[in-house]
Amino acid sequence: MARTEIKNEIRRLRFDRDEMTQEELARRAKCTRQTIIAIEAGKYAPSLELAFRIARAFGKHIEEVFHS
Amino acid sequence: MLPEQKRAWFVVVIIVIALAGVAAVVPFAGVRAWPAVGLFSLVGLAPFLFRPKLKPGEVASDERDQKILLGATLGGFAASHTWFVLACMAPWFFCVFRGEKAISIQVLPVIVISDIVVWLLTRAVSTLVLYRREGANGAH
Repeated sequence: MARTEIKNEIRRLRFDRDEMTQEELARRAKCTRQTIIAIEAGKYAPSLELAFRIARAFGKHIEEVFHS
Repeated sequence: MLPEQKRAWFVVVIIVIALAGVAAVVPFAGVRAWPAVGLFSLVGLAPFLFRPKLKPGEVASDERDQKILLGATLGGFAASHTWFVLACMAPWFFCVFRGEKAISIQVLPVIVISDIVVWLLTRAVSTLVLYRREGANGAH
């Protein structure tokens, strides 16, 4: 089965939030900084639950943060 | 480096030192050197070491860590299972080809301990490889 590549806007959204640090985003999304780094780099696709928490940390809808 | 990575490195280092120690002593001391195998027990300290100092709101591990550890544990189990079956076959082949009627009592602990070492080593190496493959290997 073909794998769907999931892209994200986390880097841009952090920039828009006065360069929110990866550590701060990780704290808000209740995950580790390394996971944020991996997601930003497209090396890890988060679970739906974590994706919602990240979107909520930016005050955005999930599709505004993650898309294919 | 995350605590799990530090623990994995600790396990790898201890096992390598213990293997080198046993390999160095056994040829000279024979059976009397077997207590050197006790060096492997130091691996049991790993869960108690490298405890993270967390800031308020910070988490020590998350779903990605759990996924990596699950993969590493399954890898360790697969290697351990394969090793155990092969190691159990070895005495039979030994008996068949050498015509021995019995095997040494030392064989059983060697099979069991080596199986545990294979499991721990494979799990630790898999943990390090999976963290590297998943990216985000940055300092904490």
